[in-house]
Amino acid sequence: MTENLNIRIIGIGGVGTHLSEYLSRYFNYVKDLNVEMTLIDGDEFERKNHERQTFTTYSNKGQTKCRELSVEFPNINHTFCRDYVTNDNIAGLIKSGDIVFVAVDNHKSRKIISDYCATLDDIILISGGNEYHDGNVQLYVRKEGIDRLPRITDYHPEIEKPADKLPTELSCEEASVSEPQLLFANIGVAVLMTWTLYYVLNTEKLEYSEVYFDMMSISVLPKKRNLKNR
Amino acid sequence: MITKESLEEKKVTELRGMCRNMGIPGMSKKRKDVIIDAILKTVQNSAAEMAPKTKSEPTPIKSVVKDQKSVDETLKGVSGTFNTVYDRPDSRAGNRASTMISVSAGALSDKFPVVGKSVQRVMFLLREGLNLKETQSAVVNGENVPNDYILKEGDRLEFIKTAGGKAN
Repeated sequence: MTENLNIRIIGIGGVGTHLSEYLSRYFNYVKDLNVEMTLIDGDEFERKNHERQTFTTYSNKGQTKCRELSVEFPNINHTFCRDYVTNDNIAGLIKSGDIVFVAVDNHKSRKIISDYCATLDDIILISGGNEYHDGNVQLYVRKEGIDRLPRITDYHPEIEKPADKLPTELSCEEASVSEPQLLFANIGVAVLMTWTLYYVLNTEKLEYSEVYFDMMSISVLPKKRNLKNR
Repeated sequence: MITKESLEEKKVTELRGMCRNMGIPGMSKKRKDVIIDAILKTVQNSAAEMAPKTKSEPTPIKSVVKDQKSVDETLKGVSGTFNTVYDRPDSRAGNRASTMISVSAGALSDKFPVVGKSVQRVMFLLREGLNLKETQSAVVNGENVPNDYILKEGDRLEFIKTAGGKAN
């Protein structure tokens, strides 16, 4: 019997480009599985991104990566969306039953996505981020309308009350400013997101809701945290 | 690294804030030099507390207060016997009692002898080793706890590291 899997990757940049390739290669060769993968990003690929991101043309990131992956991995139905996620469009981008990967640059987007996912009956949300040489990946699972793991905002006040802005709220000057990132940190997040997906799809008992890594101590550490009373 | 020179460069209000975070009482109206001495003394004591014990110092199974007079002077009549519990009686000698608990922050983790200490105190003691910030919240055994929570045998303490902000 063939199953359906709907994957949404939000943010096709330093993490999302690598993640979309790893997931496409993996699922392209899994039998009896129909995979639809939607690549969502409102940003354009620029020359300054070359050192961390893999694109063949200067255009919208989601659209470009969608075209590239469709050629290499034809068993997957790749689609794209040229928008940033906002409160206004999120209902059209994420549905109950989806697996959502969040690889964005700001906590305000994470908050919007987390809050919306918490209103759905069934969702797997995997959110990642990095600083220069460390980072983390969070896992939120909701089944049959009940939280099975803490929400990504629950133990992170910086996401619950974000101090940053959405990409759509930034001025041109603000948007042009970006802090340096390391390719290996981006790849580290992407790899841990794939591990997290494999964990959630194959474990019977969900325990871990977050994993941290630190390249300067060559360490990876998963965390168990309790559900909040609601 | 806290030094006398680095403390002398700080304002008295900053030093008083440090005292609050370090759990040093009675410094709200003290002079700057007195506050600095108190901080340095606390740092030295903390370093001694956290220093690993050498093999020549066997772990006491039962510690009895010997100098009752000095205890009476400070604790006003409180006396008692402090016991270490054998929670692993079948383990090999030297490993039958545990007083170490797991403390982590982000991907960094280790075991430390901090049973009986408050979360706030541990945050101060391990701030450099675990690269902690004063604002990090604490979770014990998966639940948020206040900073005055006293750690118990078997607890698992995590200082929540902020989520990575970038990915795009």
